[in-house]
Amino acid sequence: MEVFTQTIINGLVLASIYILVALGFALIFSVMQVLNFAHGSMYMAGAYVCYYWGFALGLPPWAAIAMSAVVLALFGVFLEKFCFRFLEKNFNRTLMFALALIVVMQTAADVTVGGYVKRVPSVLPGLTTIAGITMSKERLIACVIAVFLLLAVFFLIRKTTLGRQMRAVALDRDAASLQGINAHRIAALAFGLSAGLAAVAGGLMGSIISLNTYMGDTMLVKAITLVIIAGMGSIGGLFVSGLIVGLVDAILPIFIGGAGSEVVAFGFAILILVVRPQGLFGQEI
Amino acid sequence: MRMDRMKLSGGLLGIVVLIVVSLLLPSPAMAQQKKADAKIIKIGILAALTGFASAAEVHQKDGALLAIDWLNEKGGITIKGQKYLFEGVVEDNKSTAEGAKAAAEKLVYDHKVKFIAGATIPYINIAAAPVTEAAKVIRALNYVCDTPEELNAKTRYTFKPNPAIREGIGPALDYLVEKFPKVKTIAMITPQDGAESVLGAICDKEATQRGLKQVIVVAWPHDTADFYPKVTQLLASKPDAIFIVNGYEQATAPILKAAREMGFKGPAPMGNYDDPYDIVKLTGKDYTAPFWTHGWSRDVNDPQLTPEMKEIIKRAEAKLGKFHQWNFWGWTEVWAIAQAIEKAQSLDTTVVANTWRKMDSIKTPYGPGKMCGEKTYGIKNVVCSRVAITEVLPDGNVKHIKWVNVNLP
Amino acid sequence: MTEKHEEPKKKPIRKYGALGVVVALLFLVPLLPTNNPYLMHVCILILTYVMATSSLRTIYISGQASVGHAAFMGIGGYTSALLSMRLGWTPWITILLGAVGATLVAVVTGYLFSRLRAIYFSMVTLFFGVAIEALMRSWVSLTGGRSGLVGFPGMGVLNIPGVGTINFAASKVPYYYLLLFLALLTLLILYRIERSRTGMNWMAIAQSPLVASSIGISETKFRVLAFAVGCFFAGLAGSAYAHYNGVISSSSFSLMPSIYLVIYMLLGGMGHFAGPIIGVIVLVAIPELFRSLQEYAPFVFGGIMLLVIFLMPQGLAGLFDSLRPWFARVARRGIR
Repeated sequence: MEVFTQTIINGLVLASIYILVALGFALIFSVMQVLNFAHGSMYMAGAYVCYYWGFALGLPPWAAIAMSAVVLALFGVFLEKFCFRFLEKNFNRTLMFALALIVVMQTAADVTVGGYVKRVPSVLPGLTTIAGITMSKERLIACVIAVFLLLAVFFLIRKTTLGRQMRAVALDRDAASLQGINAHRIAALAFGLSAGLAAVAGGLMGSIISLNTYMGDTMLVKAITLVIIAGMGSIGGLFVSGLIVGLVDAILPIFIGGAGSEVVAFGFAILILVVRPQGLFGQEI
Repeated sequence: MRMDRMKLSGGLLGIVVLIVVSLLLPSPAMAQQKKADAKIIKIGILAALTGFASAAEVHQKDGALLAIDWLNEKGGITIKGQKYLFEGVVEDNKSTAEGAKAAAEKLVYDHKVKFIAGATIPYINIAAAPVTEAAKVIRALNYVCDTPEELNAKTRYTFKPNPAIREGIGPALDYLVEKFPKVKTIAMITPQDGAESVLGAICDKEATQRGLKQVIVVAWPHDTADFYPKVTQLLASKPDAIFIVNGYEQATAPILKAAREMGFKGPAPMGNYDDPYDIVKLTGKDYTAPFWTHGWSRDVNDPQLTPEMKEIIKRAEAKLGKFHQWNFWGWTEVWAIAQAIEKAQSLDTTVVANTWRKMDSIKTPYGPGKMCGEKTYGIKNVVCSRVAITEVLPDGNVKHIKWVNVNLP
Repeated sequence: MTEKHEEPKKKPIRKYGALGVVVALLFLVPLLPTNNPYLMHVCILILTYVMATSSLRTIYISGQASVGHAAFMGIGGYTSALLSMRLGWTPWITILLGAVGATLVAVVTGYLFSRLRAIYFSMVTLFFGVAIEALMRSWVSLTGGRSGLVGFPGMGVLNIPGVGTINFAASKVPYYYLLLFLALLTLLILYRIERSRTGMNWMAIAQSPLVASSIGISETKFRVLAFAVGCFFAGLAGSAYAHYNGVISSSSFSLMPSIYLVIYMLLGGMGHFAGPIIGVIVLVAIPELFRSLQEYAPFVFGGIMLLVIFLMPQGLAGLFDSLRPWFARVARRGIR
């Protein structure tokens, strides 16, 4: 029973982190029509910046994560304002820019931090016992923080004016501009929000597990997997696909080899592509 | 998009210019070669600068370069009256098989080295072997996982001066039985790098010899991020002890942490040489014990550490700002190569290899070593010295317990 | 826009002269005094990437931005390596079979993904490339997993009656000629297809699928065709290189290699057939020339990319566009 609960909680933790990242990725796509392949690098950068603030500068872990989110969010806004905005008409140039970002950020991490072993300090180290089941406080709190953030973003998108503006731009950019919405500003905010979410996810993951410079690549693929299963344009659907993939990742490796469970998750997404290309909840192809 | 033939030719002419220019530029390696023939021995360092293995091999590279500085400060070596200094050349093996082969080729064909230090992972060493063996280039490996292709009777130019997993299993289990006599069952966890079945069999035998029963062998893929599922599998058989056979700190620590978080309080020793300080840092100082490894203490005041180890620690902190225990690896390799060359009084690698095999004793930072391994590997290319038992105490402090001499038949 | 008027007839020597010189020079490279095995290795690498990147461009001009191309190189390579290793067939045949294998997978997936619009297609191909690599990595009994396959046969010894024997195991030079031949063949075939009706159709569906289908050009058929052709040559490149290298493992065909192929192509410029060639040479030569920088080389890489993105939207090949009037004035040829 204990093992079962621990595994389920673990699945929820992974799911919530995956969703945080996938959400940002899907948000940028919806609002800016841009596939930000460098999103994984944002996640990785978030984790490393969080480490820097927490370890090198000695901030308490929650502050480190918050600061890293702010830094990355500002970076995201900067990228939109000065780079993506000028490239958005040309798909090839946007693609190349995102790829260039990946190369530069990954190398920057490799040469500055690289070989020394790193882990973001725990937000809440130690074990706790709830209902007789031992659990890692850290994983629990990561889950709580992630879920809280997700709900906040969901609330933002559904209920606030800003959220409505984002949805308007996502639906039809020109019509939204005609309504007086500054599409560029919305795009910048979306980019910033997305980067911030990725940074928090990186910080949380960095404290649960550890850091390495290629964690971004894996997370990008996870985000894409989630988006494929949920379907383009569906933000809510990400919660479902996140749960599916998170639980698969937590449960399957117990029984079969690690790489095998990865292939299962991929296989499921490919199945969706074959049977229902618009995803479980998506509206467009 | 117009595809004018003129454009095509224009474009291709541009390419010709580029090719010609880059071909005619004298290669930097070649220019150095002319100067270098005089008094320099180049030692190639095949290390992972990118990819998952870089966490360890970057430090091996640093250690090798430190050793080269140290040797040069002492005046290098003398061969038949001619003084020789050393120079290090680093190539990135990218933690992949192709990267290893490409880096080996660069070192052998481009830099024209005759001696190489590195690397660690089985499939990397196996990929580089055909290149180095065919060119009769002497290689001093970081580590061997005991698969037959890594080190065997045919790899006459491949040596292993550092203690590796084979030497580590026995002493770790001995200490387990000594300190925790009530332990009866043991669960083993190791990376899925091609060596897991070989190591599983070896561990089984060693465990049985000491009255322990190995209940499960769990293998994890190299890019595992979250170890909870694997550790769940490990603990499912409710072992008294966990044996973390191979791995590296970024995997060992999460494994240990997951086990502790799942309520496992028993001993969780290592069979290999992970850094105890990093493990404590990553796992948490209240969680780690009972745990021991063959990694080394850094306490320069501990009389049980050899003078060479203390020298390396000092130099690393002075030159690099920070010491990492894998600096020992690189240093051991370079030092061993230098000793073998000096003993052989020749730069002919066949002569050096044969001499190395016949050396009565050879110095390593860990203590004096002798050549061994004829029966175990089919070739006497292994330096057997001694391994440390370094324990992490319940308060999170690291303590060197003892040295254990090893001998591989 | 394609011209409608007739090109003034020029003597073949003028049209193909420059090209001929280049090709002849390429054949003479191994005879250079500075030749050494390492130079051969770099050239072989460049030739392989030229094949892969040019074939990627073929896919791109039909409006499909594939970001998983390296996976098809891997399918070709593994197929060829396994057939030659497990079944003992000669690499001369398995190389072709590798390409065929890649094409088969391409046809199936190309068809599956043909209804996806451009941006989504990119994402899905990226995903698919990674999925294939994960499969290669985890099917350990077949592919050796991360350790890969080692020791499958090279091209062996070739006996040409009247000429002599060519021993591929003895040096890299025969492999250089083999790859040179394959690369030239690839470029020739791709160029001809692009200039043919099929190529025109590809450009049509890339520019405006609706208009194209309204005049009877089947979008699906041509998209799948482009994808299949592109992946055939990717598979060919992958298998030829695998037998040269003697080692193959899944890490060569993962996300970053696919990304690098796209980068080589875009940097060189998609608008010109020679674009990928230029991109590959520049970006492969740079790390070699800047070898002293070691781990900082990707910064130079990234820097060049950013320069090109913001200053040269047409890629490096686009430079020749802007320089052409200058050449024309110098050569007094009165070209447009």
